[in-house]
Amino acid sequence: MNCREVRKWMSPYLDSELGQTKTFEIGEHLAACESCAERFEAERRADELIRERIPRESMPDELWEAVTVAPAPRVSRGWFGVRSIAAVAAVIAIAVLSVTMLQTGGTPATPRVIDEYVAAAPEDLPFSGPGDSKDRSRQVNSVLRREFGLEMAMPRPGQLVGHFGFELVSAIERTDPQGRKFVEVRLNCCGKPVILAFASRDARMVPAQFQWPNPPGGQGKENVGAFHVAYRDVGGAMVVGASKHPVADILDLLFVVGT
Amino acid sequence: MNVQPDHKLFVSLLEPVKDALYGYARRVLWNPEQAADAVQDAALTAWRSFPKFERGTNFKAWVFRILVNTILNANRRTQRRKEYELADESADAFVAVEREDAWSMLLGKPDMLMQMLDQRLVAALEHLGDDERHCFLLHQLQGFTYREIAAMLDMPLGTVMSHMHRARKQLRERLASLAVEEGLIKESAP
Repeated sequence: MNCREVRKWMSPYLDSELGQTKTFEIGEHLAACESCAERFEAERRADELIRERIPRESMPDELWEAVTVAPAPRVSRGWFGVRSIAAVAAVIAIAVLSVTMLQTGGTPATPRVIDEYVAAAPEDLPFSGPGDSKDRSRQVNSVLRREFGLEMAMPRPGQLVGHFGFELVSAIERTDPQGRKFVEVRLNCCGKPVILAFASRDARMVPAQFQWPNPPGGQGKENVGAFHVAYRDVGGAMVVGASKHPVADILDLLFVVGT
Repeated sequence: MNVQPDHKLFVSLLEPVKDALYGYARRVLWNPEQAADAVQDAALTAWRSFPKFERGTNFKAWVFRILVNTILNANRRTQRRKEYELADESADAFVAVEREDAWSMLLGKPDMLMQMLDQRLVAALEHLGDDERHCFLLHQLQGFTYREIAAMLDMPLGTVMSHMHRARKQLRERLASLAVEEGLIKESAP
């Protein structure tokens, strides 16, 4: 074996994954070739360093509890839970829409519903700040469960809504122009209006579990983590929809909520 | 409370590998929420399939196979893998030689390599294609053999070997270019 051939087999050799013959041939070469021997030794040390420095993380207690205490009925329905939801429903797309206030300069048509809500919300609703989001989550969750049979997997730290405290304002069942029912949930999020629209009461919707630190202006779509995200500037507010389903479905709902 | 007959056994087998499962999910997925969902989903699938698990065989390999498939299926839906493959293919030969030189220099300076690893390893791992990252982490982080990985990922042994080779190569190239970009190593390395 020459140096080039030996280096070709370096990766499985370092992993001790070669057969006896090949391992012997390489060993024979390394014994005779100082340059290759040095290189292999340096690579082995680099491998060790890399292995040592890959960050290890322990499973959070909360997750271990969820995994072991409730194996049958699912506790959280995030992205990875959607598969089973889809099986249940030949229903409508899951979409989660949130509206956050955004400073925009000028703009397209201002849909009436959002406009009224934006005008009313900050003054009429109590401010709820960061730190009490868990309680607010429970409050919203219980109303949705009671009124609509919806199960919301509440945001964990780091999720979009989880950054804020929020207060439930209303939850209304609506119908889109195609006759699809959805539940529109309005929240006060640190004094700013938020709308979550759940496309079907049968599909047990979840709020978005995505992080989107810098929402752009205008209108568009992109992928954020595992989600398709669509957004639309509606005049003084930004409508944001996130779903695992095609963006067209989200845009449909953005339009419905906005008009 | 309705306790399933084998649930205690299932939990007792799962507990020693719980950190390995979560740690692995954290390294191959974007954020803690997705990792948590993947682990929970995989654990649920494992529990439902537990009657099929052959007692006395390797539980860790069995449950990892479920987790890996859970993650791969989700990634296929989001089509992230293509983006990485295209990006990786775009490197030209000249750049590759430069990176090889830079990597050789890094190998000669373990302190610098350690500094690079502390700062940039996670980013470099995230830059690997899905298959390369899975193979690399399953071997390096979890200690599975190529044969076990081949069974988990349902791919030939030779393919695992290729992915490991590519993962190593890409990881080294990435770390080397970062070292050059950050001025730790000069581009005109000997």
